[in-house]
Amino acid sequence: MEISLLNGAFLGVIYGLIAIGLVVVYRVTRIINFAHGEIGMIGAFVFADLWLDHDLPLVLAVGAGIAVSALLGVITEFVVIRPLRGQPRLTVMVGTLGVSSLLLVYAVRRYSPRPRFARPVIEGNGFEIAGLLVRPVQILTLVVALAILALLALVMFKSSFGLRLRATALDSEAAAEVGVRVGRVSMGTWAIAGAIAGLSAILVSSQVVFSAFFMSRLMLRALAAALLGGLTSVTGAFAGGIFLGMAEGVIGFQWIAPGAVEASLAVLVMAVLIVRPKGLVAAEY
Amino acid sequence: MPNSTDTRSASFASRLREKLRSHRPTTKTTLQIGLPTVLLLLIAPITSDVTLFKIGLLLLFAVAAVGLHVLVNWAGELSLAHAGMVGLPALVVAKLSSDHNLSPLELAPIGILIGFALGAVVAATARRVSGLYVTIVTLAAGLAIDRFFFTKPWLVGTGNLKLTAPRLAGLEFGSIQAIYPIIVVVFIGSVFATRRLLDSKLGRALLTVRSDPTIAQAQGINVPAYRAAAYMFAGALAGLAGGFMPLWAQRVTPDSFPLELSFTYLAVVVVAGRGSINGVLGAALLIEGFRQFLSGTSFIAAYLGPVALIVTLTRFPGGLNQFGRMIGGQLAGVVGRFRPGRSPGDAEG
Amino acid sequence: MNALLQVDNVSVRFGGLQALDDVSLDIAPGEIAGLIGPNGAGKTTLFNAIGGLVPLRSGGITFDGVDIHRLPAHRRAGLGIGRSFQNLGLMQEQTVETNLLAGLHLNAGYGVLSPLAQPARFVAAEGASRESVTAALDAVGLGDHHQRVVADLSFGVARLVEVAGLLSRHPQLLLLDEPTTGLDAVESEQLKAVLRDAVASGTTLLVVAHDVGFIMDLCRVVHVLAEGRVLYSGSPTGAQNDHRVIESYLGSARR
Ligand SMILES: Nc1ncnc2c1ncn2[C@@H]1O[C@H](COP(=O)(O)OP(=O)(O)O)[C@@H](O)[C@H]1O
Ligand SMILES: [Mg+2]
Repeated sequence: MEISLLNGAFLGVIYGLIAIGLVVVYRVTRIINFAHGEIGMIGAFVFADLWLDHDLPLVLAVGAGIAVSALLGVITEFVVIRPLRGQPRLTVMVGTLGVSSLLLVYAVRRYSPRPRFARPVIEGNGFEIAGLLVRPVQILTLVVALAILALLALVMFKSSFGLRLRATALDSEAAAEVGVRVGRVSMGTWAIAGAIAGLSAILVSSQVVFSAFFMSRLMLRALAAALLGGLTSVTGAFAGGIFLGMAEGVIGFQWIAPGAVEASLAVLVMAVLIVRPKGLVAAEY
Repeated sequence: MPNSTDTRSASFASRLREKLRSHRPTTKTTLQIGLPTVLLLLIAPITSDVTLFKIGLLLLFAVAAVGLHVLVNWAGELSLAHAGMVGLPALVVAKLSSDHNLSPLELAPIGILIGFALGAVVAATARRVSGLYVTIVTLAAGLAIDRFFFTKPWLVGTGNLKLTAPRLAGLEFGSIQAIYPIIVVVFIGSVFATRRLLDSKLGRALLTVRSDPTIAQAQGINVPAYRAAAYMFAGALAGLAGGFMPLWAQRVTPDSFPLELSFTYLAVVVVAGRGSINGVLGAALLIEGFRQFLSGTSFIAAYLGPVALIVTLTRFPGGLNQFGRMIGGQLAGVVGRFRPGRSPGDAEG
Repeated sequence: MNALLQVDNVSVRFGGLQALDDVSLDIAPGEIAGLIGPNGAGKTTLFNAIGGLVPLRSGGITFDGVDIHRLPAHRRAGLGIGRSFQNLGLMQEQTVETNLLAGLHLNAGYGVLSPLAQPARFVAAEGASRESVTAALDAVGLGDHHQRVVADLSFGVARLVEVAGLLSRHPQLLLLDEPTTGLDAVESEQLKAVLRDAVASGTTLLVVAHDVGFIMDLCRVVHVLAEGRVLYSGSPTGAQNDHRVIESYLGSARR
C-alpha cells in the first residue's frame, strides 16, 4: 500500500510536470493546448535520434530536443493561435487539436506506431525508499519539475516579460493599449511552454512505453491535474498531478481491471466540475 | 346581402390560399426526400458489393457526423467522445444480438437510447459549467469508454461475435443488397428530421445560445437545458449510427472506433462549417470518403483530416457551407433574373 | 398598490462596488416610465436585476403580483418581461428574419419536438410566426429587410429591428436600455411612434435614455439614479428642477 502510494507519487510528478506546461498556456490564452503532449513527443524523438542513433553528447541532444519543441510551440502560435485571435475559445482549442493530430500522424508515419528503445538520461542503480526502488531519473524529474516551478515564479513575478505576460493574461486589449506587444508575449509564452513540453517528454520517455502515443496517453491525466489546480496555478497543477498519481497508485492496486483508472478519472473530473464548477483553487496572477 | 356573400367568398378564398400554402411545403418536402432516396437506391444495382459496403459505412458515418454538427456548429459546444458514442451502442447491440439470438435490425433502435444516455451524462456537467470544462469531460468520457468499456468482455464480447441473421417481422435480410435500403432510410430520415428541427425554434434557440447566452436568456430560452439538449441530440444520432453498424458491418470490434475517430468526426464538421447539413455531407464525402475509397494513397489519407481542419479553421472559417452559400447566391441571382418576384432564400438550415 | 413591477430595497454588489444601493421603485401598468442618470449610475444593472441576469444581494422584485427575484432569467421572460440591450440584443451574423423568429421562442406555438411529431401544427405555427415578423418589420418601415444580415445594417436600423422584434412578442413590461443612442432624428421619431402604439395596446415601458427631449415627450414619470441610489421619482419637469438631480449631473460632468 505505501509502496503503491509512493510509486503513484512519482507517477504524479510526471503528470504534474506536463500539467505545468498546460497551465502556462492557459494563463495567457485561456485555452487548453491539446497539442502540448505531441509537441513534447516530437522533441523527445529528436533527442532519442540524436543521442542514441547519432551518438551526439547528451547535453547537445537534450538541448536540440528542447529547441525543436520550443520551435514547434512557436510555429503552433504562428499558424493556429495568431489567426484565430478573437475567435471563441473552443475554436482555438479545435485548432490545437488539429496540430496535435498532425504531429501524431507525422510521428506514426516517420517512426511507426511501435514502441522504441529509450534510455534514461541518467542511469544508476537507484536506491530504496520504504521498500520502493527509486530510479535516478525519477528523482531528476522531480528536481526538474521543482526547478521549473521556481524559474516560472521568478520569470512571472520578477522579470519585465513576466509583468507583460501577467498584464496580457488579465486583459490583452488593455495590455496592448499600454504598449505591451501582445503578439510577442504570446509567442514567448508558446516558446516557453514548448520547451517545457520537450524537457518533460525527454524525462518521461524512459519511464513509460516510448511510442508516438506516449505523451498523448498522459494528456488527460495532466489535464485533470491542471483542473484540480484550478487551471491557472502552476503549483496547484503540480500538486494536483501528485494527488492524481497517488490516487492512481491506490486504485491500480485495489482494482486491477483494465481501464479502471480511466473510468475513475472520468468520474473524478465530472464530480469536481459538478461540485466545484469554478475549480478547486482560485486564480493567482 | 351582397356584403355577406362577399365575406363568404373572401373567407373561402383565404381558406383555399391557406390550404395551398400548407400543402406547398409537403410537395417540396416529398421531392427533397424522394429524390436523394431514389438516387441512393439506384446506386445499389450498379455497384459491386464491396463498393456498396463502403457507401453504407459512409452513410452511417454521415449520420453520426450530423449529430456532431448540431453540437459544434449550431450549439457552439465541443465533444471529443463522439467515436465512443458511436462505438459503445454498436458493440452493445452486437453483443445482445449474438448472446440472445436476436436480429441486429430489431435491436438497432436500442443504439439511440444508449447514445442518448451517454449524451445525457455529459449534459449533466454541461448544465453546470461552460464549454471549455465540458470539453474536458468529453475527453475523459471518450477515454473511459475506450479504455474501460471497450475492454470488458461482458460488454463487447471477445472480439469474434457471431451475429444473428438480420430479420424483421418475419422477413430475412440475407444479402447486403437487401439491407442497403434500410441504411438509406436511416440516413435520409435522420438528415431530414435534423434539418426540420434546425429550421424550427430548436435550431434558432441553439443559434442564439451560441451567439450570446445572455440574450438567449432574456428571450426566454432555457440556456442550460438547450446546451444539454444539444449533447443529448448528438449522442442520439451517434447512437443511431452505431446501432445500425452491426446490421451493416456484421462484425464490429472496438478497433473500429479508435480515439482518433473522434478527431475525424470533428475535422468533418469543422470543414463543413456553420449552417447547413449539406456541408457535413460534403465534408464527410471528402474526408471519410477519401479514406474509404482511395486508401491506396495513404499519405494524403493520413494527413487529410488534420490539414483540412487547420486550413479551414484559419483560412476559410465558413467552411464548405460558406462556399455553398456563395455558389447558391450566384445561382439565385441567375434564376432570379428569369423569375422576378422571388427573393433568394436563406441558405441556413 | 397595484404596480405591475415593484422593486423593493434592491442592492447589487460587484466585488467592492455597490452598483445598486437600496433601490425601490414602482411601475404602474400602462405607464411609460423614464430611467435617467449619469453613466455608471446602475441603470443597466437595474435592468439586469429585474431580468434575472445578476443576483441580488438583498431586496425583492415583484412582477404582476408574483415574487420573481429567485426565478431564473428565462422564466422571467416567460412571465412577459422583455428587454433590449445597450449594445443590441441581436445575433450579428444572422439575418433579420432569423433574429426575429429566434426572438419569438416563447411565442412559437409548438413544442420542441413538434416539427417531427405534429408537422401540421408546426407548419401552421411557423406560418403565423413569419406573419408576425412581417407585421413587426412593416410597423417600423423595414418590410424589405427580412433577408439582410444584421452586421450589414447601420446601428440605428439594427436598433429598430431589435425593438420591432421585442414588440412582436407583446411583452407586458418592456425594458429599453438607451434605445435612442445612435438613432438619427427620423429614426427617433419612428421609435417614439411605435412605442406609443405598443403602450396603447397594453405594454408597459421603462426606458433608459440620455436624450432629454425624448424622455420629456414620452414619459409622465421619471426615476433618477445616481451612484446606485434613486435620487428622484416623479414628473419629468420636477426632475429638471430638483437640485439633487442637477447636482448629480453637474458633479459627474465635473469629474
Ligand atoms: N458585471 C459587472 N461586473 C462588475 N462591475 C459591473 C458589472 N456590470 C456593471 N458594473 C459596474 O456597475 C456600475 C454600474 O454600471 P451600469 O449599470 O452599467 O451603469 P449605467 O447603465 O447606468 O451606465 C459601473 O461602475 C459598472 O462598471
Ligand atoms: Mg448602461
